[in-house]
Amino acid sequence: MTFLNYFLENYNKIFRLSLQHFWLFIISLIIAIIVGVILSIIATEEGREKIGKVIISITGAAQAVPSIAVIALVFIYVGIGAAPAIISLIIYSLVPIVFNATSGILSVPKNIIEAGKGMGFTCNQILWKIKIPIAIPVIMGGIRSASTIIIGTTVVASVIGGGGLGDLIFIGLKLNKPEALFAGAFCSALMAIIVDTILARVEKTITPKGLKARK
Amino acid sequence: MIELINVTKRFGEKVAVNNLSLNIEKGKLTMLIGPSGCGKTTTMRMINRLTPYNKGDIKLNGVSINKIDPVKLRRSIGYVIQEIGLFPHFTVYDNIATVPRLLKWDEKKIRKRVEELLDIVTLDFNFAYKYPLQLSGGERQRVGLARSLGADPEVLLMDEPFGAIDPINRLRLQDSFLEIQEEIKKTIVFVTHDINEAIKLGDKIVIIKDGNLVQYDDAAEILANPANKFVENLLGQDRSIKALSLKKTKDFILKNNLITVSNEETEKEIIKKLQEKKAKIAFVLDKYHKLIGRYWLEKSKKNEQVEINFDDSPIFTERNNTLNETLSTMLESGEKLLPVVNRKKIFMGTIKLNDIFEEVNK
Amino acid sequence: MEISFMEFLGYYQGIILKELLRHLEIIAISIPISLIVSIPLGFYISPRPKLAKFVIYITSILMTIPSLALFGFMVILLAPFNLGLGMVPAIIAIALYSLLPITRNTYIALNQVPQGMIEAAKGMGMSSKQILWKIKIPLSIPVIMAGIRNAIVLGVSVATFASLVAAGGLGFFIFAGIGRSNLKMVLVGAILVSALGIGVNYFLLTVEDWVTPKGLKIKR
Repeated sequence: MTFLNYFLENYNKIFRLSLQHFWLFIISLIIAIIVGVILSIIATEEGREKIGKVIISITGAAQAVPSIAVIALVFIYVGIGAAPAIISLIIYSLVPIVFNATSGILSVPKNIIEAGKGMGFTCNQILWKIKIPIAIPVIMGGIRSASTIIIGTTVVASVIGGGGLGDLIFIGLKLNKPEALFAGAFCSALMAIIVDTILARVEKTITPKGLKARK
Repeated sequence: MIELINVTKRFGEKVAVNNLSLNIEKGKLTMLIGPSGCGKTTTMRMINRLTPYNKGDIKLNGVSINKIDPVKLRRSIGYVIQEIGLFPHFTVYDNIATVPRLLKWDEKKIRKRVEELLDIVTLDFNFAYKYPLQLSGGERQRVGLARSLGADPEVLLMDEPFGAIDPINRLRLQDSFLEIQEEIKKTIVFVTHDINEAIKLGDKIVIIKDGNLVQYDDAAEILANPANKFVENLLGQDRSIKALSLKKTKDFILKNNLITVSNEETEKEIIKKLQEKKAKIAFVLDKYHKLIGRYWLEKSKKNEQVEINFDDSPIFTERNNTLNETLSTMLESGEKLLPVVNRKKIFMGTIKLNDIFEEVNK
Repeated sequence: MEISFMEFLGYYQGIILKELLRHLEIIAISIPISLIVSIPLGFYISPRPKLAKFVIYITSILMTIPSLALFGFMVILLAPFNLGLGMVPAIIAIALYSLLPITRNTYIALNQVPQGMIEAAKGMGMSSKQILWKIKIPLSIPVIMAGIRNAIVLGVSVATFASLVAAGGLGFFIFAGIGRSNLKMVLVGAILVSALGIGVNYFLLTVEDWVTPKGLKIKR
């Protein structure tokens, strides 16, 4: 089993690349979540209905752009290395996060917001105590989606010197070394599945109980 | 208490409320009624500044509401809308505690208040930890009402709160609501499009058409003297029968000459009691005085012997049912005598068909 | 010699066209393969919730795997059959990826036909088969089409990797361009691939609209 041998012999390298991959993922995800949620909050403020709808259309359409295109464009204008990789990861994952957060917040039933306003909630209170908690399932869906996308795109970003497990895959493809290819593919797939499973748990935990309740 | 002075509201070209002047009295249930689009909801929403007015002024206790911070104003006024808008992610307890928490009451006080309010709307305390999605329509309505009373506001604004309920439950809710208002005596502005509801519930009725005030008076006065053809049409052709609904069952309750027994007594004892008093019907009450059953004597067809029968869910009427609602119940059930209960099912007395007929004849 | 972007396009238009067709070819082969498997699968699991849960779980794991990684697995698996190079790995990778969107959407679509409607149809004397063909399927088409559209757009993305195993496709411009530090080439590739993705998505949205029964589109 040359595949297993490869793992055992190159254990260090594989581990280092996995860690690198994970850092790229986490940094990009956190920045994308912060920026994305802030953008969505701004886009969904009262009286800005039109802007919210436009943003949903744009991000909806943008989801059809392949990740490699964003990486390529960033490469052209920024160059190679970890920084351009992270930039392209953030740009690309902003799309599902903003799409989901914006549509999630806009889909909170109007009568609930009306009741809150009539009862004397301030705009901020309505946002944080009503809109966001109710929109959490949709927002979390966007975050989960973004995570899977980031891990996958990080693999491709190695082509512009981003590092990570994609290096193994590209080496495997270029130099015809299936063991390296397998190692890279396997580890990145495993990471993606584990992260997604964890996020599914998180989603379940932070979804307000009342939304899951049924008679 | 609430004065509307020459209030006008325009949406673009359309005038929704036209120079409306109105004085809403403290402690009274004032109904705003009119056809769809007449401006009644807009008028109500101007009171808590959800809709700003273009001209004129609205004063609460002598102070113009434009001078009060809108958020503070809304926290001092209860607000109930048709869809209620309960927060699905809050428990019933948290929903009711919303305004008290906004006002930073301490948790002990809030707990007491939630218990009080759940009791007033006749919901058992274990509802407190349920979620809105687990409740039926009627239960949601009651939580909505409790929520609006959370911080004990002086004023309640209600926009067709019973509109989305089925007719049977709506009647029950209306009766409970009337009883609650007897206890809490709030100043209520209630929007409805149902004239029967307006007559049954309202101390005062405001009739609005195309943004203009058409008539503002007691229900009895409007029924007796409608201001114009429009009001006549609104009231409908059966005005005299509608006038019956101005009278409530509670004013015709008989408390003497009736037999009540507890659920401890045996049938023998009950038969003896009935025969002593020469009566045919006895109502069974539990230790809280709640109505739980009915015994009646009947001559058996077989052997001319007197038999005693028991019904564990007797037909009843509520004290706030209008006379014609009680009349309907009697006609449907074929009973000439009905027990009267309050919203907590506590026995109040009985009412006789003959007494209703006498009232109609007057 | 520096040439302008437009001149570049003109000069290479033959190759551009060729790779574009290649790209579409890959998708055109893989999607029908996927449809043959995923739609019947969707139908099969629709009355079987436990099985459905399992199937959807497996296919969603497939979709979680990074596309390049899945592509890599295919290369490895097919190498012993001498199919490790060329279009086949891309075709199979796209087919596997499309399983989730199409199967899951088919399952959801068939199950969300209101129970009341089916009751009414039964009461009127429609047979199960008729209910399936006259009611369930027409009402499910919009959602199924959305799944197919999703799959095709994914296909555009995955097919860009085909150039890494000498199968052509628009990815050629990007990867070769990066390798040669030819920025114009990369730009052409990036723009073409984005345009293809957005264009295909938009086109399929129109098809989806065309295929949706008129009665479902009425906006009050």
